[in-house]
Amino acid sequence: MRPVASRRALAAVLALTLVPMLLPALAAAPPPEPVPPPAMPGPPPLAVGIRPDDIRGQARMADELSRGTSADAATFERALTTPAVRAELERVLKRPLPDDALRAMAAQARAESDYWLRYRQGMERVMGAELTGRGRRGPGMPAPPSAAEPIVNPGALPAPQPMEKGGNVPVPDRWRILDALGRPENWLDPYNTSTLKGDKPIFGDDWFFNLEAISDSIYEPARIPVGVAPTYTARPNEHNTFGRFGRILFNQNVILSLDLFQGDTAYKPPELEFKITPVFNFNHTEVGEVGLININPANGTVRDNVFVGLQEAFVDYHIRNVSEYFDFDSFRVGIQPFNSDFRGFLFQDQQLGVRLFGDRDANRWQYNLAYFRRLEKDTNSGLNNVVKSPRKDDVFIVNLFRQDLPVQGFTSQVTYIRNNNYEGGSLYYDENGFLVRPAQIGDNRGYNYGINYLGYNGDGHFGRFNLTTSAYWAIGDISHNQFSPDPQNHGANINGFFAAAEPSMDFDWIRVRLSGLYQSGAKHPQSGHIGGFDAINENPQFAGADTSFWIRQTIPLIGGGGVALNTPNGVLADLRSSKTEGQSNFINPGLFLVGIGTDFDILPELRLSTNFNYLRFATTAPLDFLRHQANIPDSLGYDLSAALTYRPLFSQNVILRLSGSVLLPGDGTAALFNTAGGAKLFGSSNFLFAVLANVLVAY
Amino acid sequence: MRAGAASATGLAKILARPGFRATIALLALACAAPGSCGGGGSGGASSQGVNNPPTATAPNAPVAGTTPNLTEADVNTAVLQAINEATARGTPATIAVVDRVGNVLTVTQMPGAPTTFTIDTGRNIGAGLENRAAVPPGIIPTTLAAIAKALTGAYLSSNGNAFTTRTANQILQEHFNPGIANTPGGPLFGTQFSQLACSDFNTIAAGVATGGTGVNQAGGTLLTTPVPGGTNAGPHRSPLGFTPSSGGLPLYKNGVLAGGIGVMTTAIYSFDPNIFDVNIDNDEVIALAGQNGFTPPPDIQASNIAINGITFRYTDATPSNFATTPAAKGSFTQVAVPGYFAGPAAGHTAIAGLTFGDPASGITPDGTIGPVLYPGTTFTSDVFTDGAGNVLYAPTNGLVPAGNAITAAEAQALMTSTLNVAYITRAGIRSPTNTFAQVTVTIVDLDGNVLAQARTPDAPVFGADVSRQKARSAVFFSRTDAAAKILGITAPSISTGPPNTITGSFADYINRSRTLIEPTVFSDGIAWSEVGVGDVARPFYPDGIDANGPGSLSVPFSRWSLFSTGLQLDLVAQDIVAEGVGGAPAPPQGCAFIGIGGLPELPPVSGGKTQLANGLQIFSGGFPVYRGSTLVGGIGISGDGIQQDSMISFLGLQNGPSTLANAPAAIRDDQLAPLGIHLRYVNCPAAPFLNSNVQNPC
Repeated sequence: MRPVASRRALAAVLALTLVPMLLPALAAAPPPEPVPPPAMPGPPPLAVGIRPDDIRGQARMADELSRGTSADAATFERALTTPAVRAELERVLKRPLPDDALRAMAAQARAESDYWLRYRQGMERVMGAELTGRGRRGPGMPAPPSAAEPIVNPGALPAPQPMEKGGNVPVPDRWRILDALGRPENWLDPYNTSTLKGDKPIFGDDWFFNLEAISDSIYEPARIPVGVAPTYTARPNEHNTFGRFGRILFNQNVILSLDLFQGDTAYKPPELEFKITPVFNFNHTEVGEVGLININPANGTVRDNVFVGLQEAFVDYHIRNVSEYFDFDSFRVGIQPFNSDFRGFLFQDQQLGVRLFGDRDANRWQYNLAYFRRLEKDTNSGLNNVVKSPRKDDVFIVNLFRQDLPVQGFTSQVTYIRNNNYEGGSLYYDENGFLVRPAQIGDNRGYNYGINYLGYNGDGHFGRFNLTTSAYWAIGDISHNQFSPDPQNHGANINGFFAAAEPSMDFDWIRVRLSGLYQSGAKHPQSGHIGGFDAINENPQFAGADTSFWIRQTIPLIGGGGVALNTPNGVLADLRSSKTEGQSNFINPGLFLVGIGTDFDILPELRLSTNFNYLRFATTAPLDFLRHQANIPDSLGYDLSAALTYRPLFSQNVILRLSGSVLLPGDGTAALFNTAGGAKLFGSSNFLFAVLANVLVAY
Repeated sequence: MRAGAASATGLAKILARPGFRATIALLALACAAPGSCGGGGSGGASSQGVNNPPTATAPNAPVAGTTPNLTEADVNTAVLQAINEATARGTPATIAVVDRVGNVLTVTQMPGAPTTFTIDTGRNIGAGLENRAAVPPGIIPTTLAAIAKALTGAYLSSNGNAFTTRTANQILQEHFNPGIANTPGGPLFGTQFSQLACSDFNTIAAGVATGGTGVNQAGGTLLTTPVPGGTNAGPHRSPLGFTPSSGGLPLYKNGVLAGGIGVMTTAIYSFDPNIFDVNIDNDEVIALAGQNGFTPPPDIQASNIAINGITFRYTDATPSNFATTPAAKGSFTQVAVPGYFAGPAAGHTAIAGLTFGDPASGITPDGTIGPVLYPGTTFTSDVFTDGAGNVLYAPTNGLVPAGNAITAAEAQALMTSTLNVAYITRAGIRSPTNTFAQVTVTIVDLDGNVLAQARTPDAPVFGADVSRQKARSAVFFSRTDAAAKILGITAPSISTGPPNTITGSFADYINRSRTLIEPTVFSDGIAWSEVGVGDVARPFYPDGIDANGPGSLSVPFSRWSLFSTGLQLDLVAQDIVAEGVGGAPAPPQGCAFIGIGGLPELPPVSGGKTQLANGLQIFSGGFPVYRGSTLVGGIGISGDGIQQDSMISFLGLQNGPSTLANAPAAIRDDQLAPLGIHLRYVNCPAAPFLNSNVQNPC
């Protein structure tokens, strides 16, 4: 390995080469302070729930502050008479310092020094026992006298009340202290003090504004199975079902997140928060055949699409704090992100809802009570479409997290989720003209469903051994079974199961992960008892996630109806018409996945991840039925992938990622698709592969 | 954004865990997949086959001599059960029963049942058979509807698939599934105009008096001297072609197809545009009651068979909808139907059906009579007979092009190679899965004269007439005189003029084709397959796109219905009125000879018939046949899924005698790209073979 210095140099070169758009920001940023400016008091100690150690620490800090500000005052006073000192101060503060200014600064520093001195004395008077560690004031004793004494400086605020319960210690506001020092603010520099980043109030005393802006670009060619339209073709001499495989995707998202909140900016949750996150999307798709990017074959093989989605729009009201640790209850209304578990296996989305949440016992308990009415999604961007009426689909969620259960470092969660869907009564088409509700399979009739999910999720570590685990039991019913030969069937009971676990362990700079996942399948798809499992809106961070071919790509069940074997960014083999717009489908083949993966932290800013997964269907009965074929083998194949992630700034602000994945088809895949012949988009390969290049720049 | 930034909510919180990768997931970028999020394949792909180690390759046993026929008692039982249910429902019905080759075994009309009906799809289209000037309301006997329904149930089915008129309703409409916007037309689009009374293939029933010529209008001269009690070799004609109107079911005995039953209780003959509901229809419930005891095995019922992932409709009604327990009690009186049913012999109420596969039925295993015609086929195939000891359509020399016509030996070799493709092709519409496709194959010469016609043992009967239509249609449009032939028709069109007038012109089809497709269309030697013909014969171009105008051989959707399909219907409109409804025998020239008003349509050619002597067909499964670059004939297939039909004929020709071939690629219809998209020439299914893993075979 090269010396660190040369690695750093390489990193810098790459950063400068690849991220020119950040250069202005970097150039405009001020250099780190060469000389410490006159010491200013930090945030004053808070008097609520202080423990003896804290008190002693505060006392020490008050001493230091008093001494420091006294020294500052002396310096300012000396500058009045010593030109060299004045010049040095002017150089550091970058402004001229006439006598008036120096005197004012000296007076301010003296006042502060005096303030801290009296603060220290007040503490000593009231809490001498704690300060010296020789015992405590007994219960029932009268309240301590005020430590406040008249302040010499009439412009200063009243002195603190160290033991005043529930109150804050008022001090001169720290943001304007910065202003007084003339510390420059550059809106292009998000790393230093910035009003746009919530470092200073945007108005009032405690209203802050936080702006986030992310540019996320993806270029993704993939060799996925592509079917030829039944009646028209993109070119002559196309005679078969499988056409020119492959798809090229370019997707650009610009995410603006505007967050206005009242409260503190650290430690303590905001009192009131308004947040809105519009996402501006452009996507470009090329495929080899007509009738895919749009149901109308005359629309060709290339689609450009622009959409603006609203991914967050909520108000968060902080109802109350219930402990000195800022355990709280909060209420949030609007479009908001939610993840039902640690890895997004069941329901991860930004949806319209109301949520009561909070924690207890210093965050050891966390809870959520939530209700979501799901929004329609734009087909091609996957973003929320708030112009359309919300879906007739309700999600009710109750969950409870407990830290350090069963051991320290491991968090357990239990959850109950109810999904009611009433979309069986009408037809819904996606933006490209394809019917997605009900799915075009079986008898094509609509269905409603009501599913209870009971789940346990865990995440954490047992010593050096990391573990994430998830298990869901889905029980409920669908109102109509599309696979049943009985046109008047009253649906089926659902009894599906899902389990996943990912143990991992770090060996120096290498992390080794094992992945296992089981999704039950519907062995008897035409019956009244369906054993398959499906999620509400999965987004799994598991087994390689979007590095993996199977999880990232969609494999349409060509010749088996308007459904796909899996959904984009989904691990379940669930035969849905669409993850974002379709209904859950429990009559599916299910999946069994085992895998091993590694993360190599080659450099602090460079990571190589690899994944190797074996996939097979839990049952192929639904596929046999839809493809009208007996005995489809259950092996899906081997999914090999690798990703290189480079963060030139050692932060999340610039991320470059390049990943590649290959699905080596198993017998089942070979039986379903033309993986061994026919026209090719990417050479004469007989496997399926994808490349994903991603540039993310964040402000 | 930075670590530890002020807000710990929203994006920042997610970004912090479990890594930046989540950002991408958060934004759901992958949904920019083609087509849709996960639905990318919908509508874009079409296949039934799969690539899989073959299993269950044993054929259905030829049924000769082993198939129980419908006895007179069986027929009576079915009819009485239907009457029992109709009585309980208070809906007097007209009921017909046929055998598998279409002999009408009885027809009865309960007192109070409507005696006539009107063809009406409810959209006031005023064209085709809904053109009130050409077909006045309320003149067609309901007995004909009952017969058409019974025939549809029997003809669409086999021992591997039990289909009904509700299945037909599902697969004939302008979208598949019906009611789904912008999807292409049904897989059997156009089949309603097959089995026509004018067909030179389908036979007229025994003993029905043949009233001679001049029967031009419904209600005109009826046939007056029937000879009751007989059956004869089929397949027989249908008065109205296939019907999408519910109430027609197949009848099975011990799991073997024996015939069909049709029920009509209303005075409106229509279809069901909404297949998403459960439509409890009296006709269907009554037919279902009649079928009691003659039900198909559950696994071959349409609703257990998926094509492209979509199951077929069998019935919406189930026995749970019966108003009463099925029972065969009481009695009924039969009624004669001129041109279709002369009535049973005196003292009987029904006729026994023929045993399918017996030479008398009109279909029998190759070699049962005379020498084996196709010794090279993998399994023993079926040939057609006249019921009097003679095999029909044995390989024969073509007449045209003179001196270059397909020879009998070539026809025999081509038939053999084509049937052998069928015997290795995974069936698309049959159960159990992984059995071979069952089809009928017809080979014609340049003028549409039949040079050979044969079938696999259990092919649905409807495919015989349809395969002949497809072969002729493909060769007709591939000729250089097709445009001229249509332009030369002086009879009026009942579809292209103003609604409910008989003032339209056939030239309209050619003029629009010249605009849409190319100026020299149907005259420049482009080879048209039936896939390509279908591409321009739907009420929308491209097929299914609702906002668009029609394909040039069709009519605008406001004028289109299942009973008004454009050129296809116009060519046989007068035939349906005269021979179909009127009951007259087919003219010697076959279909499309005399048009509305008695004016001529297509002239007879070398064999004495028109080039479309059993009507035009407009869906996949037929190809022109070339000798080098010279058009010499056509081949047509029907009976399984449309992709299978298309592939079997294409590969049959490819594998056939070396002297014959598919059209040179440079002159195929897929070189044409109206509105920028290429027409298709052939559409082959995925993994179509039982004995190999080939995926893209064509």
